[in-house]
Amino acid sequence: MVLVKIAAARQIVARCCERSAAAGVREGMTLTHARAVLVGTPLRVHPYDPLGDEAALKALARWALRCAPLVAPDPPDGLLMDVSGCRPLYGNEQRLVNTFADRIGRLGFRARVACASTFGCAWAVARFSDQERSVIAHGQEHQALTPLPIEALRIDEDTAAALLEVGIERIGHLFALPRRELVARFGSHLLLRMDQATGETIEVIQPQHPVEPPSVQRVFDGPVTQLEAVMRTVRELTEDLAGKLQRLESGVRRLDIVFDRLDVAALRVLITLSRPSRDVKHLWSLLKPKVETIQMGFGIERIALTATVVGRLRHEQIEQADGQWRSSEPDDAPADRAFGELIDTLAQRLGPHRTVCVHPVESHLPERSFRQHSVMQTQRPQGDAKQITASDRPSILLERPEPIEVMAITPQGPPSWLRWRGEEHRIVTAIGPERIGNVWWSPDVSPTCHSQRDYFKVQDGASRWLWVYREREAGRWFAHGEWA
Amino acid sequence: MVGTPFKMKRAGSVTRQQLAEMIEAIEFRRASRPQASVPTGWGGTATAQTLARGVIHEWFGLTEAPEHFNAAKPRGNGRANQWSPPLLVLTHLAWRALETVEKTKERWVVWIGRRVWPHPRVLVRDEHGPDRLLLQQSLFVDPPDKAGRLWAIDLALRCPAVTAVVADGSRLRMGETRRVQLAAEQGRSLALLARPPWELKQLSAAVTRWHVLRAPSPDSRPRWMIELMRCKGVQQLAARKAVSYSILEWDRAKGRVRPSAQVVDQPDPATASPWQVSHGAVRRTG
Repeated sequence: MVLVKIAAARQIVARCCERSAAAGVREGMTLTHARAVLVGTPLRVHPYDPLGDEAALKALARWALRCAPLVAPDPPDGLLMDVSGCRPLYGNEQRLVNTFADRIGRLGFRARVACASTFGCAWAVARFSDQERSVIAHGQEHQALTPLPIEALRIDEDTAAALLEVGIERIGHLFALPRRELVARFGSHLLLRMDQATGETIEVIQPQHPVEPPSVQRVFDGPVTQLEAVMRTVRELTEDLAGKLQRLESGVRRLDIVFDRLDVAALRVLITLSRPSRDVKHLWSLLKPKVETIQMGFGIERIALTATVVGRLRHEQIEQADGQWRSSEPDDAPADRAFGELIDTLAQRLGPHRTVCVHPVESHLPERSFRQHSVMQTQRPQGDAKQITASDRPSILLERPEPIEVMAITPQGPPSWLRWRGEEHRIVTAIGPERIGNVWWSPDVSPTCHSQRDYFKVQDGASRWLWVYREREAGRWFAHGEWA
Repeated sequence: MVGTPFKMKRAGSVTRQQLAEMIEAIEFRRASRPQASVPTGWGGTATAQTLARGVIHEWFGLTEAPEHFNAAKPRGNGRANQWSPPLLVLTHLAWRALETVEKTKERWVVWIGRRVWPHPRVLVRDEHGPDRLLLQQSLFVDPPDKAGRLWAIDLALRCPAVTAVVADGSRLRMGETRRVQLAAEQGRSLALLARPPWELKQLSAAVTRWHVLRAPSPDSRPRWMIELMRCKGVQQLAARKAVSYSILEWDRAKGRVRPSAQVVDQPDPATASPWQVSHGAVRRTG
């Protein structure tokens, strides 16, 4: 798999997987070159999204806060963690490193982890050491850094090139040189990086701060078995949560409700919203059907509402202009809000996959040119809508092409008679063929899509317009749609 | 200070149009706010020129077997129950509904029932370049059963952000269509229900009922003959006029259903209604 970016109208490889790299693909290579290197190997190509990567790295840093008190993202692909004081929790540093590497491995990441007394030393060892998991004891930094290449010092490319030009390839070579001369020839930044790696200078990181999600709860004096009391409490808690969210200028996107029950496991109810909201009436309309049907068991002891995912929801300002008081929110805000409430309600009752939007997919095959996605997805699928133009396609496209029996005057020509779904159709008009090629380059497509198709738009004696096609290789005929 | 919502006007200042609206409001027990209408772009009689918002319009679709048109319900295997909603006509009306609203107001089209989901490519038209507004502003809902479908139609019609609701209206009874009609009156949407042709004789609260028949086409444009079966007092003047057939054709590039410029072969007299084709419109002969 490779990630590509567009530069000067060329597709350039921005990142590549290990298998691609082992085959010879390098960053900065054109996509055509990479395909040539990987000839015969299926290659997945996706657009490079640096902002998405950065957001994902920040999310990973927030996740890593469960292992260390201070975690900072180190773009593009690293995390810096301050594990001071964590040793008693794990026994020793090696166990800490192993635990963290195993945990992050379960998320699907393959991580190289190093633990040292300085961030610079750990950064260098994690990336350039032979071992995936390393622990550098305090005072052993010089020894660990000496065999590593100079790129391990986090210096810019120009400085590294200048050092290589004079034959300095390892960090150990730098340690042997006088510091004053290094500053004079290569600048003070090189010395700063050396000192940070060896611990001569303190390095400060900008950690991710854990954010407590807005939460409200109510603990009862004893187990409550009356549904009316539970519903009233949930309603009041919803109002309290809305007040908290208003102070934070936010709205809830995902609401988690926990009912702690006597002697049985806690009950968890989750609702998801398409856009942030703190409207009590709307939230209660989503919550009420779920709360009404909960199994209370021997009674409920505690109810907690937590807004696990929140989004920015600006305060509405009232301003005066031309003697008229009006809201500062955009004119389309009420319509947006109403539509958001509509799809929330539809998705809660019918399920998120029964309330969908459609986005285009880059494919010539009619049945694969669009894909449905749930309106509750926070991130819309990537699709280039600009590629979709008006074209003569039927209004009803069958989910699967249906086989038909056909009589044609010439083998390559349009049908003059066909039988579909047990009914015979005499063809009076036929337009075509429109040839749609196979998708031999895609490994994901089923074998039925690997054949070229010749489509005909035909009108039968009852004025019904059908869309039929013939597979060129097999010669089979299928009905695929209708203009209705 | 408490404001009064209505102001009394002097009798002399009320125009004939306002008076007609007030009488209409009293007759239909709704607010005196005039319901906006959506121009169909089809010409012909005034009834066919516009469709009122806030009321139900039923569109009886196409079936595979013409003998089922007059049957109460087709018998036989499942194949006989198959019918096709007039999706291109409904898509055209959805475009017209979207064109007639302000950009910042209600601007979504909700398609309820998988049967009335058109192929998304049909929702893109060529209007001085590709126009994908309808594709981007469409929400597709697939209720699992009739109760869910009715509930979703009710909900969507009441939403102020929705400009048109296109729904599968098959198997709806009179009471259920009344519920839909009440929801439509609450909102400002264009309510379009697609129904199978064998439900033509069933009672309904719809204000207009349209029957769509396939018509022969000499070129590549699919054609239909539409017949106004019922028009219940929305436009009283138009209702008194003789209703007519129109022959419409699909203009692929513009994404519109428009009156056919060319009247082609007559339908088979054995299956056709007692109407006569004349200059693109059809008049009753018997």
